[in-house]
Amino acid sequence: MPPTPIDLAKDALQTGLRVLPFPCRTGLVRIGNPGRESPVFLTCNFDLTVRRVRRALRGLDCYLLVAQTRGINVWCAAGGGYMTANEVVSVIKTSGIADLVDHRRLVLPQLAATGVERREVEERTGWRVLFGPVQAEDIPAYLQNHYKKTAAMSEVRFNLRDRLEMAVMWAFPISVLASIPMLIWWRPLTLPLLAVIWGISAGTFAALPWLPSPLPKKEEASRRSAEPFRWVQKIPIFDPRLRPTLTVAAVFLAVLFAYVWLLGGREWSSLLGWGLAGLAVCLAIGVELLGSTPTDKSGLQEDRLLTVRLLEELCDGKAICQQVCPRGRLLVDAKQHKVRIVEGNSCVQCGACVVQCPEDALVFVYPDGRMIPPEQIRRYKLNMLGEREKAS
Amino acid sequence: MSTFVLMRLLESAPRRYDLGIQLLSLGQLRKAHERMAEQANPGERVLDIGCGTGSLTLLCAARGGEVTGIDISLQMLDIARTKVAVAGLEERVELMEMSAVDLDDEFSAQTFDVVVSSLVFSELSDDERRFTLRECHRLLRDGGRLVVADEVVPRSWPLRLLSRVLRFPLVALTYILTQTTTQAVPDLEGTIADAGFAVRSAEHSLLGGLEVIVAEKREDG
Repeated sequence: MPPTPIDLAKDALQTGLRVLPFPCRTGLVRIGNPGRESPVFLTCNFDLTVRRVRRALRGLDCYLLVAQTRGINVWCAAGGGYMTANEVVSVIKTSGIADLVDHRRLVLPQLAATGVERREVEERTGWRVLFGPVQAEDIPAYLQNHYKKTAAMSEVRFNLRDRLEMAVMWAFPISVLASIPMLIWWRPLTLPLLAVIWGISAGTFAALPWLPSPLPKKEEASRRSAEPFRWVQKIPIFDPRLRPTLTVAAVFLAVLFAYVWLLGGREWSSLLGWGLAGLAVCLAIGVELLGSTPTDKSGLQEDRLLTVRLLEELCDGKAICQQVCPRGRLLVDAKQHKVRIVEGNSCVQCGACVVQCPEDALVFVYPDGRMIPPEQIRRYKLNMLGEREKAS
Repeated sequence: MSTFVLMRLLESAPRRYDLGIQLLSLGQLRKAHERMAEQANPGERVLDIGCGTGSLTLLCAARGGEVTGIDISLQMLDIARTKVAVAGLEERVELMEMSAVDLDDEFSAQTFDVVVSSLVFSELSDDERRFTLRECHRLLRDGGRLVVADEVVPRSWPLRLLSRVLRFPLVALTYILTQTTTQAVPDLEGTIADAGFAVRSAEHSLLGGLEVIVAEKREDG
């Protein structure tokens, strides 16, 4: 069945307001005509996700369990402690799925791995947990491949379409907020301002892979710390995290100046006004630009400073980390039964490998060398301030 | 009690939970907890589902009950543990990190005289609520009491409208700050009755938003 107009309208609204949670009904969903051997999948209860997963599963006969994640998407709910073993165990036990199938095999979305500890679900329910593909669209191929993932299925993609979706997520609420005063006081300028907002948002996200790296690489960081004027970076506008945004702002201003120049305009006051408006839009997006990508960590989270270290003597090559890493950073050497960290690919500090490693062989390390016990990463999730809150 | 949506803010920072929730409920929650604790007689075995920072657990223990408090939040339990120690009630209180859906594996039938639960059922999905109530029924001895306080949808339409209007800005604010919200339970009394309980009393707060229900396990159920 193709999506109805109502579904498409919901898609549009929930994409525009993606920053807000949209909870939907939790529990058991039947797809097609499932039988006693049909596969069982699980997802969050973010309405947009559930509709997309159902579309991706169309044509299959299976069960879908929708867990109570407070209307938040899988990646954010898992990172923030709203999608943990508790939510998964709860939907397994309260949905009655055990009476409907003879097997005990549950496929979770891979991006839930940072929040749902597989071992705990298995111990509490007797179900075997598999981490499926990152994208629901890959599920049919994954089933044909007998529940084996290819490397591409494990890697998070942030292609142009996904990036433009995030651009809409920023442009829409900013437009709504900005339109209110504009329509009251400066009505003729409303449309040009909306063009600026949507243009900068789309431009920033479309160009994201080619914008300067927000955080200095390791070597560069040590060189930088020796530099004089380090205090300059403490002024928000010189913060290296705003580099991509400021680049976009500079390009925008250059184009604006060139345009006005070509038209022969010499109205510096309006030029200055539009320049400031453009900068304001860039800064509004820049605050959480990286937090709205699945490939970089928000600048607000302490965890972005962590690196993953492999304690080789503990590793026995079970390779669960390889299945859950969204960046393809972990590779198993089949001969030696050991995992190897691929240095070229950048880490998102999601902690999925740390959470899932049955041998505690992967740990987070602070820049000063302190190790964080894996148990702490499993139990304490990031709160709204990007800290792992513990009672003190 | 529309202000309970702001509870989400407090949960994200357990250290400020106790003070915040009292302010939000204008002290009503404290009164509700005192009424609930009156159901626990000295020596009775009490289960507190979702004990949080332990306020209700402590009141029950102070009346002489033997209380088991369960919660899934480690942070909240840490605070509860400190409060129990300060009150010197370690002997009568056991705190466990546990979800309501694991009650079936943990306790045998008819283990408790009283089950109490405050602001938990509104957090559960329909399936979870049914499951938990079925467990409450199994865990209580015959004639045992279930005492629940929660945010409910008021029954009369003017109050319902008022609570919607009051709730909306708070929901919006909480959404923006914590990305989550709470949902008032539509028909808590009915759901409890369906699970095999006889509702003995149901008291509403001034604006009809907070309800305290005392129910008794029906022996035939």
